[in-house]
Amino acid sequence: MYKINKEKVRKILVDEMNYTPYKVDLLLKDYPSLRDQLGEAVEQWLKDRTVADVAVEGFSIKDVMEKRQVHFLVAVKKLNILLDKSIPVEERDKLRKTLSRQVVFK
Amino acid sequence: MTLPWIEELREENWAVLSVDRRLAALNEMERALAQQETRKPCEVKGIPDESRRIGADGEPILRGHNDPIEKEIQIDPILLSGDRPPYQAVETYFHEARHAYQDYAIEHPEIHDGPEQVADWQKNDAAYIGEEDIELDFAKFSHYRWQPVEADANRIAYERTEELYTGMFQDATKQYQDYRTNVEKEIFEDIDYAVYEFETSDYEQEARLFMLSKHEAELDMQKQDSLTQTDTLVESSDSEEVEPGEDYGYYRGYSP
Repeated sequence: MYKINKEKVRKILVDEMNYTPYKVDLLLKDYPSLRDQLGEAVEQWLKDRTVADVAVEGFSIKDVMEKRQVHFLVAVKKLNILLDKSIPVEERDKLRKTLSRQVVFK
Repeated sequence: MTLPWIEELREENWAVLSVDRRLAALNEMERALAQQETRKPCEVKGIPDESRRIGADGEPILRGHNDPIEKEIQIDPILLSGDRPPYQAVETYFHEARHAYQDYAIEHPEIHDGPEQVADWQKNDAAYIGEEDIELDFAKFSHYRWQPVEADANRIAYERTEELYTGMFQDATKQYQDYRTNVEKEIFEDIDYAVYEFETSDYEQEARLFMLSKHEAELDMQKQDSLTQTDTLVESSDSEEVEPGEDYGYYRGYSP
């Protein structure tokens, strides 16, 4: 399992990407350990901010970012749930349904 | 409130209009609606290119935007273009016009029948749940969707579009029926998603409470900011001696 380097990530999100610090802290507070393929994607992002072409059950990280309008790290967190067999099947089914839905703002 | 009759918004008329004339029709609706609501009209225009957000499927992720400072209602140009029927553009206009009304009601609460609702709008305006909140998972999409100002704007836009096309124009075309079916499917999915995200069927209240807690947190942060002090120790200007144990006089300036 992969544990993110929270300090390093915080520095990137706050100093480089100008996100609001307290919102970043909340995101990172209970950030889960990641399955290996997602951990590798995070490593790549830490290196050069590119988003690896990684998919979980047909959902790519880029697709989830685009459809749900979420940051890379949030997309990875959501896909990690799909890989967690300890989470009930119904929960994972619901998540699957929502991941493919495009959010729209008005 | 009676919606004004704007002939160009009928589907068969809209179909033959240029984008400029379609915008002119929406501006005519806005002038009439604003007059009824006793507010100044906004200018209805397209979202400028640099602010547009388009999904991978070519559809707008940002359909419309109300700019209260510039007094503009902006609609994504795709909704105004080509062979598209008027319905989505009109419903988006009604949604953004409702935000303009909410802004006006916050400044002039006497015009709205519902002081508690205006109080909610005022707090929501100060603690709006927006795209950065969703981007970082600080808020869920359903907090955005069902926060008071958005739930109200969606509801009113739906009702007014239905009133215009079914009630006034008696548009019985398959196009309108298909549009309405898709909108209702979207609403149903939003509700379904909210129940999933919030684990309660009282999703509007859940979103409202989240907004109120954001409002409280932001008030606390503002209070802390306003109390940031520059302590300047200033000795008393006269040469009065200070006995041991006495404090020097302080001057405290408050920095913004």
